[in-house]
Amino acid sequence: MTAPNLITDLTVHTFKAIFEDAVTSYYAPLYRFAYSLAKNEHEASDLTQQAYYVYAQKGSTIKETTKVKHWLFTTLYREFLKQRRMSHRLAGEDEMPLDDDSITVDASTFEYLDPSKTMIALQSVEELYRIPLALYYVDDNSYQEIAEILSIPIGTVMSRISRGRNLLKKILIHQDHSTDSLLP
Amino acid sequence: MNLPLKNTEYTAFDTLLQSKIQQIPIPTHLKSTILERAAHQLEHPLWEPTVQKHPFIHWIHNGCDYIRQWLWHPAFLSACASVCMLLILVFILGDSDNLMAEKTDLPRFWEAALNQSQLDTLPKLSLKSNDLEAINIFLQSNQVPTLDTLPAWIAHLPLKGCQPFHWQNKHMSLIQMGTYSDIQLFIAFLKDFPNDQPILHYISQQKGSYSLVAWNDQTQHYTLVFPTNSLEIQTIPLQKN
Repeated sequence: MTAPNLITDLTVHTFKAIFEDAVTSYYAPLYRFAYSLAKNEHEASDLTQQAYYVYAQKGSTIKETTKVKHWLFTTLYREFLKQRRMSHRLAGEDEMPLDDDSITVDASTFEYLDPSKTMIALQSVEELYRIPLALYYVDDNSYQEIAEILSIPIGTVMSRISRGRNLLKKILIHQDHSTDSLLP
Repeated sequence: MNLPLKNTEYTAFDTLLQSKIQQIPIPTHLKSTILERAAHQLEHPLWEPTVQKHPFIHWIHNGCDYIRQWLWHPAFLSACASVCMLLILVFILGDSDNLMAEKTDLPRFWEAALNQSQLDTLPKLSLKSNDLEAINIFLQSNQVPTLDTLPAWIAHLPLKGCQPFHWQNKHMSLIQMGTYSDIQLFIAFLKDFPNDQPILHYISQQKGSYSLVAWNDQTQHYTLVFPTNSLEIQTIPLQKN
């Protein structure tokens, strides 16, 4: 085996290991993020697979392994936008006026909430607020990371998460009153 | 009255929601499907590993990436369209200029070409000949400028026929070289044409414009260019084998 081939094989082997590690570490939060976007399991699986497929194709463009997670979330989000062709619609959406009437409810109220119903409630939040909120919840991404993934200012991320949180809370309370399902 | 949540309340709510969201089950075969789907790409990567690149190749690669980003940029596309239109215009104008130059230079060219031939030895071509082969043999045997010495656009004109015409009980032969755009080219041999009635006098009586592109009164050899419809003579079609 010649030296260049050896280097190539070693590099391929190294990237394969990095790829498998990235799958193990991030496929679950990526899937949950995709699920919150697509609102159905099948499409969420497709989006997750597509993000990794693109990563396998363009692995060499990521110079630092620490940026793999950020890159995967960004790619998944872009794939979602591409599939839905919603980029223009999202850009044109107006943000809600600042709602100071935040709801004060003890977090323990939602303690017995079913995870699937929590996801349904999250999926019901308006998309403008749902996307940063989902990134915030599925993998505990920081505001800075979310801002980079969505290519928006960090201040916008913070305000959208804040408003999204209030909307989510309202939906959860509404679910509680309508279905009385919070308690086991 | 509703009051804004305090930071601790936010934290408790967020922590609870995160734990709930993270309990969402993942499809059992998702991980294996991802790995299977990417397996081919991983074994046979389209990309070249960065570490094996020479710095110059790496620099070129990055440059290509940068150019690729600009390829579909509207400003770049419009600039390309402008350059293309400019090139097309230059090509069209240049081409028409070349055509005009060829037409303008035609008399000079033919004069030079004919001067190189031994015109004084030319016999008169049989007027009744309409045989392409006979005409070609005649031209070759008399060292008339061969077609490959002519401008390309003339050289590709097929010989169309022999056109006789009569004047004052005299006749002359015109070998029609062909029609190009709105002109006809002829090679004329006037061995018995009266010297006191030069052909220029005859041509001046014809309708329409004309051009005598080369002549030699001593050898009575003339090369003429006529507008297509000005000469009221009929072409005898060439015999084709």
